[in-house]
Amino acid sequence: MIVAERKAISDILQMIEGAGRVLVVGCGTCVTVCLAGGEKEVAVCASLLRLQNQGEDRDLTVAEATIERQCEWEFVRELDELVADCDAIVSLACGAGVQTLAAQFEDTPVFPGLNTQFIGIPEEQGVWTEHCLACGECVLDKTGGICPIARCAKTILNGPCGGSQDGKCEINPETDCAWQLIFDRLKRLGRLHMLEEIEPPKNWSHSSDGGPRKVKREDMIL
Amino acid sequence: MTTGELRTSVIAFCCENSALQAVEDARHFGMTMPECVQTIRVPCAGKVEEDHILKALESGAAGVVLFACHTENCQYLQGNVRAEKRLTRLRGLLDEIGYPADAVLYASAAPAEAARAARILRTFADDLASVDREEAIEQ
Amino acid sequence: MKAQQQRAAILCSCCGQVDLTEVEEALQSRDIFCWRHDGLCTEDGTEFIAGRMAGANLEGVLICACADEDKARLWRRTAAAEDVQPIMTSVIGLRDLPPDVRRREVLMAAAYQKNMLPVSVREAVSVPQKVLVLGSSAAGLRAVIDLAEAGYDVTVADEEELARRALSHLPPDLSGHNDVCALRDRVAESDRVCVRAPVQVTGIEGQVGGFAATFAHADGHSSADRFGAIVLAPGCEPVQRGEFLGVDVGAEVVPVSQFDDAMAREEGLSVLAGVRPHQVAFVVPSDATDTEVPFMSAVRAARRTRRVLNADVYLLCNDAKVTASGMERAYRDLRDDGVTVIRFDEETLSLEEADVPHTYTDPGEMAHPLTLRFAGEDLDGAGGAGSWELPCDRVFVADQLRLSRMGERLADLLELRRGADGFLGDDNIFQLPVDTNRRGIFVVGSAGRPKTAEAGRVDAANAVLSVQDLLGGGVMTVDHAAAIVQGEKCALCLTCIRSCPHTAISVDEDEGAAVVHREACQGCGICAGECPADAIQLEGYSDDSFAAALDVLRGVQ
Repeated sequence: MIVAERKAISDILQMIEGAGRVLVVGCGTCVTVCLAGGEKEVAVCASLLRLQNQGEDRDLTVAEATIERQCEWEFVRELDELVADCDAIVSLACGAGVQTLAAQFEDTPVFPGLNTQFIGIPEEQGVWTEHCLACGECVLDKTGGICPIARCAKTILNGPCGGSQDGKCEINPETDCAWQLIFDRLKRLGRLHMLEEIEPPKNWSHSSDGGPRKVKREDMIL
Repeated sequence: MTTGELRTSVIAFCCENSALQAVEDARHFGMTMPECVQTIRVPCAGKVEEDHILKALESGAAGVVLFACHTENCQYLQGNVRAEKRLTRLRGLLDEIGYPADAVLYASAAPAEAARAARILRTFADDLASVDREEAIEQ
Repeated sequence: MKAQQQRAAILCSCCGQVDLTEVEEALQSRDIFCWRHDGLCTEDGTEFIAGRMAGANLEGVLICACADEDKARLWRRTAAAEDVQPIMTSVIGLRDLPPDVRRREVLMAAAYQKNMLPVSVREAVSVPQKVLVLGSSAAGLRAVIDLAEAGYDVTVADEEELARRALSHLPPDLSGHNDVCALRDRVAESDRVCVRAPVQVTGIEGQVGGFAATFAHADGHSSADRFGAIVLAPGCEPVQRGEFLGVDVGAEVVPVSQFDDAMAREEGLSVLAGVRPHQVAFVVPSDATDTEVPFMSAVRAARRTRRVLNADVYLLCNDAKVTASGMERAYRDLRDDGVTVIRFDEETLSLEEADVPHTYTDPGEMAHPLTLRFAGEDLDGAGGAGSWELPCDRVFVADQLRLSRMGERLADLLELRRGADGFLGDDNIFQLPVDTNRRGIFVVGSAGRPKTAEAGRVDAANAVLSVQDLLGGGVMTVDHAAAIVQGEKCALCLTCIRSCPHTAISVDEDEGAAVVHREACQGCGICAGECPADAIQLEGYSDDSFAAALDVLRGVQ
């Protein structure tokens, strides 16, 4: 899922400077699951903004709302009334959610309360790691289910590099070397011969490097 | 300031398996307790949510105590551990907005430790009173 | 069901000085019954209070009258005599309060009391009077028999033949062995007990009152059944030691757990092929498990060696653990038998295999192949303190114990918490004597914590009491607040499932949400505290009730 982290409150405070009626909006999907922007975090964030304001000389009201998913027009439209009453929105959703709100409510500034980090998984409760870079051309079949794009610091396709030491990455010694993992996995699967095939340079135009992408299902367009 | 000034200055979330008994006994036996403490009963310190503590502060409480069972004495095994972790995080958040982080306190007591409970609350109330809250926020 | 209890207020008008109308109305709107009096501070005031409360079966009382600390204490005692706790006895002086404040004060006291009320929610669930005992350690077999005698249908299941593991480390000539055999036979003969051994436990679903267990039998067929409660008795086992102090564990350095094997070979004497030992040392190092069991095993073995072989026997230990039951006696008997007990400094301990054995005067007898060196003190004082060099024919090392492998499999299957040493009893005092972190699952014997046979017997008795408490006469009462998940808000983030210390929450596939199993929930509220979607409420401690409490404290009605 999409994993995000809350921005520093001081950053959020700077963004909303000058606003008198703020609406903090949460999202009930990915950011709830990664504990960054669900209903509870919205309450915490809103309380912090109000508490901080208690020492200031300005009027500030902070309203709270959480919708099912911030990247859907139908859900976002539920906020019409609340938005009409505010002069700034802080969105605790991933970048897609923030932009959907901004597109729906073009006359109200929408600020991101989170930094969207990556597509990843919880290794254990409270710890998430990056697993997918959405490169648009999945090679996991060739690497035993371990992604060299997202999990190798150098995104090399025919690894490992010379810096792999004791199964750890030379860029960050706390990170497992992805190619060591790939090697171990393919060995276990009895498919080491896959490494004998040299991968040509990746066609990065399939990823975000080729410009903003679009996916269509013609049969599902109403 | 929000409407309705809080009657009490310190809110104490008291675990009903330990601290609540201690605090009530302290009152009952006439131990010196700060007048401004109001207790809210919880089944376990692990029940108390961060946004509740923040709302208590927003409502004008000068301080909030999360009163749990001693380490390894939680009837539910890890409630006090969860509570302490949440409070540590909360202190970090309060720091971020320049609010005195020592306005929230994690403390523990056994049911029979009325004197200890009273002393903890007294010290906490005294510490709160000695710092001008408005000034501290403005920093 | 408990009779519906009420709260009442006793209002004093202070000889007409205080107008009680508003206060009385406010209290009655909160369902609090009111009595009036003109002067509670007078002598007959306390009598009045006592009289009205007698037999009224109140759960709380508000006394609105002027009172100094002594009077207030007296009234609280009076209320306590009618089973109303001090927390639920509020004394509020109204006369000295401005009239507009009186109502608020009284309502705050009433709300405060309400927050203190225990939540009483009751549900009776009919449950099968069947208990599953997993594992057949001595304590487990005892539990099987006791439970059957208490009227339950008991199934005992083990991965090996019944009692095989327990008997494997009890030598046939010891009384313990006979005890276990007798227990096993009684179990096999009882018609209330169903024996499934050997089987593999392939799954246990559900919660207390309805555990659904499936078993795979050796011949390939499977069976299943439903149980009200589970008792675990998979026992403990010694950790294999590869070497001790640099010497390979095998013929000359032997774990105490293999002592009886060693004694049984070669006409009941030592492992030395044909050689009689003259000097034997038993060492209890600090890595032996921290209960009395390794020490007791070493003591028993040392005494047996002394009596049977008439060897010079030394016991090296650091902590005689005399506090455990029976230990002081065992220690005295040990010394009376002539075993030398030495408190040794483990850091100075070294073991050497002799290159050149020195010879004895008796021909044909091999001399000591090992030399133990250490600093230590003979606890009897005879040998004194100092450096020791002890030539030995055998060195027996006390064992480190661990939860048996079957126990580990069961812990995984049932998602049970294990203590720091890996046993099922955990380290939390609230789980003593036989509880695990899950309601309805109990542990007896050394699987919970290594213990003596006697202590295991006590465990079995406690397990029966616990089961009776739980399953009653076929009806299990669930009478505590439980957490409830609001399905629509649940994002299935799994946080609650992972944080529940009691494994009481699971995923309801149909609902697409987490569901709290009421019968297993222990009402701690940790899940409600963790939920990032605020989708879980705990009965009696909901977010709304907290908000209301805060409102009242703020004086906002």
